[in-house]
Amino acid sequence: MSARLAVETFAARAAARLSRLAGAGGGTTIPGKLLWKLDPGAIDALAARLPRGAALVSATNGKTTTTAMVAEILGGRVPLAWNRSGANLLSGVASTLLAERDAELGLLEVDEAALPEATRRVRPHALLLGNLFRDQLDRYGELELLADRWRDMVAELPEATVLVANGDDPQVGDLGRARGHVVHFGLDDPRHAHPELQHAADSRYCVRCARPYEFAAAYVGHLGDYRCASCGHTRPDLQVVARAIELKELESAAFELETPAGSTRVELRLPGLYNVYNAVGAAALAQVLGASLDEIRDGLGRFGAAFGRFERIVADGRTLLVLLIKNPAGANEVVRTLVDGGTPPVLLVALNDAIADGQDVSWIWDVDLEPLLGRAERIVASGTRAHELALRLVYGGLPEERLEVEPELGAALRRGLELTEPGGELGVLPTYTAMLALRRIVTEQGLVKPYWERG
Amino acid sequence: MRIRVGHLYPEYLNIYADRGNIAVLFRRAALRGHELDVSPVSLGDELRPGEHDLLYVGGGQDREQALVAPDLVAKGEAVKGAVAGGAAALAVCGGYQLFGRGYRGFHGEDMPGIGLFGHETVAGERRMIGDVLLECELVPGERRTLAGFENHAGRTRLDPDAVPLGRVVAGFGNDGDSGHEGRRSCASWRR
Repeated sequence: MSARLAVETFAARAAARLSRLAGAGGGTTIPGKLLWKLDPGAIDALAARLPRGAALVSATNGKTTTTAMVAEILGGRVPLAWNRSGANLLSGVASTLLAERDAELGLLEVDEAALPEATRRVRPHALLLGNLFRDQLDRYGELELLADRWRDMVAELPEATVLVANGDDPQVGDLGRARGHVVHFGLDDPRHAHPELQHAADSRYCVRCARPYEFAAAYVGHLGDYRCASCGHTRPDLQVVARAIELKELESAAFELETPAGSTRVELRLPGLYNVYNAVGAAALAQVLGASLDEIRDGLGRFGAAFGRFERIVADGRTLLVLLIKNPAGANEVVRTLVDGGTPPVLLVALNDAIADGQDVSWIWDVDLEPLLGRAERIVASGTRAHELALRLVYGGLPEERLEVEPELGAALRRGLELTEPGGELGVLPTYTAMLALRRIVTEQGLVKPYWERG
Repeated sequence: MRIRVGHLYPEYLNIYADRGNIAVLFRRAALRGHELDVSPVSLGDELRPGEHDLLYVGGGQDREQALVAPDLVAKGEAVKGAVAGGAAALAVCGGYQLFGRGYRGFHGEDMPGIGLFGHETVAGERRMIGDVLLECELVPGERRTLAGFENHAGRTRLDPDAVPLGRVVAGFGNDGDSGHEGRRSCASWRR
């Protein structure tokens, strides 16, 4: 390590300790922010020290879960520099690389907009690109712009970097067109396809000729088996595929995982088709990183849940089932999974509009919430934009007597628990900062460990 | 009564609150005992004046907007004919921009509009995002507030004789400095 990097890393680590002492949270990005300010090139140097290189994971939806699944598959056999708390901007990447001095492999989820720079600096051995959906137009600009930046990024990737891409996403599946070797993953089980494209499906028009795609199957938003009748652009051949998918209520999912190294039946302790996507992506990346088929099957089978993503927390004799919602496509899958799996009678939905949530909350009008409204007996609307959410729910058809509005999260959580039968499950659907705040509230009550202490 | 709504390019111009605007129209109509009959008018579909009581056009991401703009220009005379024949039009976001003379993109490229309204839009550098509160006087002498949400990079300049939808109390509005948001035009109010 150069003397300069050593001094900087010392200062940055001290900042993390101070942040925790001051009770400012996990201190997960403070040292990185400091280092990032002192010397942006330090990330390059820190990443270059990793003996087995790094893998980056990005997507609009599922990057935290996918990354956590890969970590579980690698299962402690490889010391990881892994940003498990989801601090996925360059400062978070810097913090993780700083904190994990003895890591051999970097496993980093990266924000979609930050990915091109992260890729240039970290020079990953493998890069997983999951999906692109409309999300936080205020922060990222429009989907097309992001796709263009990813396209430029892929064009500049070192030859040695292995690209792992979701072939079911027309934009993402097309990114590797000019590269020799790309591992494409996806789903193949039309029994689970939507009868028609959802409202929030984005890439409906051919990325090459702009004519509408024909979807033989659309699984999640616009992810599926597509074909352009005009220019012939189709889903690429998939190397890592999930077939014979079984979804088991709100509990689990199972599928036949087909890879170049053979096939195996994966039992996932998470429900929902979108988690099957996460699992297939994780399997594809883990294989590139050297995991065997058995390790993949066992790792995915052990995997519980990532932070706030289908996480169950016991509170006051009830179980909180926490499902992060942050954009239309992701929220639609949460709704679909709840509806198919059995909607809890009481739901707490919390809409915040901080920068990390997206300040434009009009996205909630694009979510297909309606199927939930006929099923939930009571919905508590909360968060800084509780009233906007309440309006959305009522205009979607929720009778007002089944709605309660409580903007303050602590009070809303108490109310939700009160309405839930002892032993029952309270469905909690928060946006990102509302999820963090709710976790802080249950942490203060000693129900769950702070995320920087979990191992 | 039955209100016949023609929704222009719903599968292209559908970003964020567009479906919300239709949901609000449904609900508000229902509260007043009316029924809303929404039909899509898309690429290549003929728009026949007299077929709709209300035309709705929303916004899309840049790519989708560019895909429909030539078709909208081809429908321009039909839209004007429908409005001259008494149909109301509600144009939001990109649709509002293209109902004017057009949109000049960031790199100077032009996307012509249909020129129903006298305004034009130029891409700006900073996106204007947030809640917006307007003071409106839709019926002379009756001041009311209108709350909504804005998220746009375009700066829309109204012609001097145009009547804005409202005065900006909080937020950015059409261009961030005129103090106006939107525009309205009605036979009895038209200047």
